[in-house]
Amino acid sequence: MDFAIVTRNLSKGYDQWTLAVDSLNIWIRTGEIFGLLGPNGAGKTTTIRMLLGLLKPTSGQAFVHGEQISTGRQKIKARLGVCPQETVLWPELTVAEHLQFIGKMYDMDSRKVRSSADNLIKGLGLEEKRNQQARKLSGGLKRRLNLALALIHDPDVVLLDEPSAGLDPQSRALLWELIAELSKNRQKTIVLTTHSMEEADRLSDRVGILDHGKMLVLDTPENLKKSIGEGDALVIEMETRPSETLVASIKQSTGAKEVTLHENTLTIRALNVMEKFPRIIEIFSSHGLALRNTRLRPNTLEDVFLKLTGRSLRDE
Amino acid sequence: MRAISLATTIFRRMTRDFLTLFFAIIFPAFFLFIFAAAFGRSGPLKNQRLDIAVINRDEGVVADFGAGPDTIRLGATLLDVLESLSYSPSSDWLRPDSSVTPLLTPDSLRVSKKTSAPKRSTENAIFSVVDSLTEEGAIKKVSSGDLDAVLVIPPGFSKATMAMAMQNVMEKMLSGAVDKFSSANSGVFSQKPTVSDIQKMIDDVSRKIEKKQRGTGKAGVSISSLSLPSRKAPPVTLVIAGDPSSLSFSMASGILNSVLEQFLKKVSETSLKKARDFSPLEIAAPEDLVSLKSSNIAVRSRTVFDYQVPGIIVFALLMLVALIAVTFASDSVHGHLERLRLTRMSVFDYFAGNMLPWAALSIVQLFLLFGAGRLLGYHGKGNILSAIGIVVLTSLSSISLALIIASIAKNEKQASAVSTLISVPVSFLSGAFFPIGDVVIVKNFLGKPFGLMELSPWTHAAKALTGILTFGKSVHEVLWYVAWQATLTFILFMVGMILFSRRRLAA
Repeated sequence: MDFAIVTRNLSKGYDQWTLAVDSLNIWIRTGEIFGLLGPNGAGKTTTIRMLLGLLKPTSGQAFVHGEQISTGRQKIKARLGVCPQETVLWPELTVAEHLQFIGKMYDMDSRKVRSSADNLIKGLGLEEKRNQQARKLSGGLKRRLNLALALIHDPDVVLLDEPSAGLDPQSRALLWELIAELSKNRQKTIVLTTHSMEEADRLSDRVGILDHGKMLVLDTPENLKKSIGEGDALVIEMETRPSETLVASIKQSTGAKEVTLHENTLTIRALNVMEKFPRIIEIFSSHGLALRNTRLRPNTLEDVFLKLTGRSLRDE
Repeated sequence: MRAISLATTIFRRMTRDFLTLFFAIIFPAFFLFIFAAAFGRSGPLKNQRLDIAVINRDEGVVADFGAGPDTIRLGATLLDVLESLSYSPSSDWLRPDSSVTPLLTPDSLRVSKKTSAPKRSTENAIFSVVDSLTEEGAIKKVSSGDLDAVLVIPPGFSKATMAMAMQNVMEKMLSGAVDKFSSANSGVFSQKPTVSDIQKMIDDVSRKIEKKQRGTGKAGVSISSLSLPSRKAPPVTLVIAGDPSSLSFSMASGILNSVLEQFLKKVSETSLKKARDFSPLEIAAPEDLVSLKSSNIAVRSRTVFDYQVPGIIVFALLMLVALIAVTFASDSVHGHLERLRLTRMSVFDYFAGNMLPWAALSIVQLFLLFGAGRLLGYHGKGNILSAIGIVVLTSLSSISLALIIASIAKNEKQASAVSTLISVPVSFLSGAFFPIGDVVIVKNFLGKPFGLMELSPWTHAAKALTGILTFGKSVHEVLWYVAWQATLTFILFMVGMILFSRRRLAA
């Protein structure tokens, strides 16, 4: 199998006590969308920066299409495209000038740059803003242009660091569409860092969950969700935090596979969980607890993270 | 190619950034305007008028040159000369000899009051003279900056001046008598003549002349019947007082010294002419009484502003340090540098791409400031094209310093503050605005003393540009400064490049 990115025991420590990335081993297939999921500070951006050669690993190795990054960075630059977490634009340049400038910096000839820029401007809905200076663009349009700069030189591997952060729903939908298209029709390898479970779940072929620099699990979203059990999850929010006795009582009387308590929210995971709902209400009444909200949902990557770390991604 | 793309982009950004344009071009031009107003006197009055007070205590001297006794008041005449002195309208060369001459005719030695000789137009007058103040009042006005200098003409000025002139007259007359006696006796003295020999000679010549006059019927004037000014008088000293730290006082002092020297010579010359009128003796022509062109006078062919224009160009190039350092720091802080590092841009591309637009801007600055300077009264006649290389080199010095600052500054604010802290004192210490004394660190380096500020490439840039633009020298003539500037810039650039590469471009 052809791997676009391989890391072997890749580690990065900013001081001698803590490792931002701890012995990371990943194999990302060519044409795959790989989601790197984790809370803030998990080590996602540090990993991306090492893959780009912007940070020197403390130990370990990283390869892009077989070329070791530490020695062959100049060779692989043209094969890598990156959309950084922060929008990096030159306020005085127009949309078209941005694309021409970055294209030229990748040694593209003028004709090719023009053609690629036209496609991206059209694909990202920037036609009307082609000659507008970046400083006059809205936040969403700036993010789109930021992404366009990562793609102007038609790279094989695209690294998107929190690409949907700060995007309006319309821009996010457009971005997701573009990512899917890049992978499906143009065989681009896409590495996506995000702390949005929905984004990772929806876009990624495989997801790696990173926490405190360590890769906790790595599999397809479906397999990850299955790993925490079949069935649906009933989420009950209460006015006050229930006792452990209540949690044990529900688990025993409903036969639920898993009952987890996180602050004032109880998540009950079981097959045909709605059939057990009247019994659950009875238990709550007997304990004198009032329900604030209930909802039924399928398992998510959030549940996977919660199970693995005991914390919610939203807490970070 | 990448460097050109980067350079084009930076230049494009520059032209769209009003603040950059303002600080790089408009601000130095504004500075130029201020300096022109202070030192250049733009418009028709190109030279600075100096305000002086004259305290005239001269009481004059009584003399009879054959037309009856009269009082000669040379203090008043000197005052008239000063009031009439003007910059030549045809050029900027000051010619005090031509100003003094019309006022010191033989008749002027007979004036018994202040001369009413026609004065020149006050438009180009060098001095604005006040003669109604007391000495104390004048000193007060100098202290408060209302006057540039005070000239005190002491009592006995006319006596002392005429005594000097009479000594000259008698010396010439005696020389004429000796010639006559020698030719009359067809021989030369076998030994040095004594006073009685000389008196004998004069008497002998006088007798012959009287005899000749009787024969021709011409009425002669006997020297013994005249009442000439004494050849002996106590020495007097004219005092020129002013604030030694004032540039105007230095100028006034220099000009007054020259004028006084000219004045004394002219009095001698005029007295001699007068003596020729009443003496039948042939008096040698005053070949030694030629007009004097003082070095002080020559300096006034240029204004202080003429020295400042090249300095302001250097200052403008030093101002670039802050702009460039902020740009570099901004590239680092806002991720532009990182974005570019992701492309195929090399370290060379980055430095070359940044240097080209700033160098181009420095050339624009040169033409703009030179042109603005000319409009404001700058007399630089040098070849501006010869200065381009030096200006580009200077911009490289500024880029190098900016690289060092951007390497250590944490953000744009720090880069800007540090740049200003460095570039403003350096522009003054480099002599950009006016020459300053340097601390000599090596007494003899390649035959010249080497000062601390000569370690600054901008010092050499200012000297080289002044040489080329103001004095019209060729690049070859300022090669010493250019070589120093190039060497120091290279060292500065290497330090800047290594620091920036290690701190901002390394993984």
